[in-house]
Amino acid sequence: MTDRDVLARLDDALEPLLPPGPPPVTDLVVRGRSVRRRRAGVRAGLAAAVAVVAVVVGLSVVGRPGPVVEPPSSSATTDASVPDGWRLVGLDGVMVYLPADWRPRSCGSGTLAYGPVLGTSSGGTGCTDVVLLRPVVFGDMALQTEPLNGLEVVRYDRTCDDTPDAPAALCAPEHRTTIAVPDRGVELVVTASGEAAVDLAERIVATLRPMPEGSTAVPAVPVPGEFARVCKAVFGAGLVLGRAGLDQQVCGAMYVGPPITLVPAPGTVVPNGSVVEVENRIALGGVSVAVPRDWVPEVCAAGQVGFVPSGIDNCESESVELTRATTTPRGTAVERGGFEVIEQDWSCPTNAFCVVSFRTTLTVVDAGVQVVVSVDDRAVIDQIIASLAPIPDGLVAVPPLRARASAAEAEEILAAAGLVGVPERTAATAVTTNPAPGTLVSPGTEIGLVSATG
Amino acid sequence: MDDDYTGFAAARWRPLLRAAIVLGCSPTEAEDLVQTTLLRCYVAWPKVVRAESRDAYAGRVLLNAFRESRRRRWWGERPAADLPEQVLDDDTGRVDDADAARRALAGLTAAQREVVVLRHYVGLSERETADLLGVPRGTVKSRLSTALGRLAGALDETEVDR
Repeated sequence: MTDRDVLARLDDALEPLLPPGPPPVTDLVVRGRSVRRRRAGVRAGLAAAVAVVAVVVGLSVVGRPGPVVEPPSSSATTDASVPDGWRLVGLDGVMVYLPADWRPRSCGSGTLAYGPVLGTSSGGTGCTDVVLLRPVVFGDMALQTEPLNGLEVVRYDRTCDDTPDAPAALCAPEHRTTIAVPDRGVELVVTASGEAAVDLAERIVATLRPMPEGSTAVPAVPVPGEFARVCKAVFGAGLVLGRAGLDQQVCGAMYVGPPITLVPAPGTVVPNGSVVEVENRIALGGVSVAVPRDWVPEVCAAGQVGFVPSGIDNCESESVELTRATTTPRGTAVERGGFEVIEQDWSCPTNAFCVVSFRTTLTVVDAGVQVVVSVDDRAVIDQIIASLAPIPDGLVAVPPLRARASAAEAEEILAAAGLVGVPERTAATAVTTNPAPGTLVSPGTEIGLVSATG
Repeated sequence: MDDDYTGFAAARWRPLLRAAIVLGCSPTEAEDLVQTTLLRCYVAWPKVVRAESRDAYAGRVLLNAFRESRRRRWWGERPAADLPEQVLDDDTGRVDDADAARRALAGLTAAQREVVVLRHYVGLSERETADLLGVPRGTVKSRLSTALGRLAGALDETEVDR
């Protein structure tokens, strides 16, 4: 076989690997013209003016959907200048404006992700049609950058060719813009499908800017959210962990429960040295909520996840219970934390004796889970409702066991959740687990099977 | 200018995709890399036109873009979600071909892949390839020979397996 034959056979073999469809020539020409225009602007020494004009023009076109961002007065804006309907999120020294009603998504360790409310007409799914802010590693080569609101960035646009033959995987989302900021080691990725979403994405991109002096951002939580890693990220961002001001060294070495979420939320732009608290998050069936930090697990009923205030040994008074919903109550579903939720509120009648003052049942319709919160302080219910969110990426929840589950059955239940059951003592049945049901752990974690609660 | 460019881009699209895959890109990465290459060609079109060989110019741009992406470990864009694997036709022969290509390329070093791309897909001469890679002509010859030998062996082996 000659060299030519070898290469011809290689070409034939490569054919099935080539993306189908014609080349996106029209798109390339459009993008090429755009790059040329940008470069011409830079060469004319109008870089700064171009950035400002781009924001003004990009954000003030009449008839475009979504809220309108007025351009901040300077690149070093502050929280006070955030227009109504928008919010700021930041990471590693840069920040960007997003629609205020966009929700966090879980799209990878150390990554801040936000998108429209799931289930709405403008909402995407999962990690498509989102805005991502994440760390990025660059080599030592000199990158060709361009100015953007006081940052030196590398911009990369990818637009799906409007070709009927193109596979869906190549066109979802249709448009992706990446703005890398090499000297900050961070990149902004905006993906969008549909004309309105692409338009909004372009407006979001135009607002990327440096954080003001004296500010930092609550870091994205590493996954898994082990305390030591959370600690390192928080101190690395120039923040203080816990109102008591935990020492960094102590903090990095200690383990307390499943600390997954930070308050204020990751991405929030705050003054340097601000206090950050850690949430105690529990989950069932893909739904998670944050419970007060001093609450502890309790076996309220088989098949349930239960947490009660420390020092209470029953679920009759204050408690949070997560259980599988067997029916869907009547009522209008509202959006909570990216889920469709039906809320039912009850409060103790005046002059009546009740063990608790308030009870709210949240039926998460799309996940088939009920969250029942019984408390004396209505504010606790509001906090728990506000914390409703999908399970963070890379973690699984320890599932509750069935009543009188044999050790073998318990191991099966755990295996189905990607966990390994380990009997803590010889016993015919398992009552609960250690860590407790609802705890968020890494897949493959060994879970103790407890035969009695003592 | 645009008519001239669109003809060029359409003609080079598939050869450059093949070259990108030979260099080690996945199909999705290859598509991004070729788009980047052709975009750079558009922006520098006057230079492309003046070049002795437009195809060779585009090939150099492709190789440079590939090296940049690998050195900075950043693809400019990366899928944000788990995108489904690209669906191939339900055609056993095509799947076998794709598998054969993957196996054959897996046996080549990065340096050998570059030589194959520059000589075969970009159409550079031995001297031009040597100059571009900064190695002696003899090295280009030996790398190409070794690479083709390995490719032939791997493709033959796959043929026997069928």
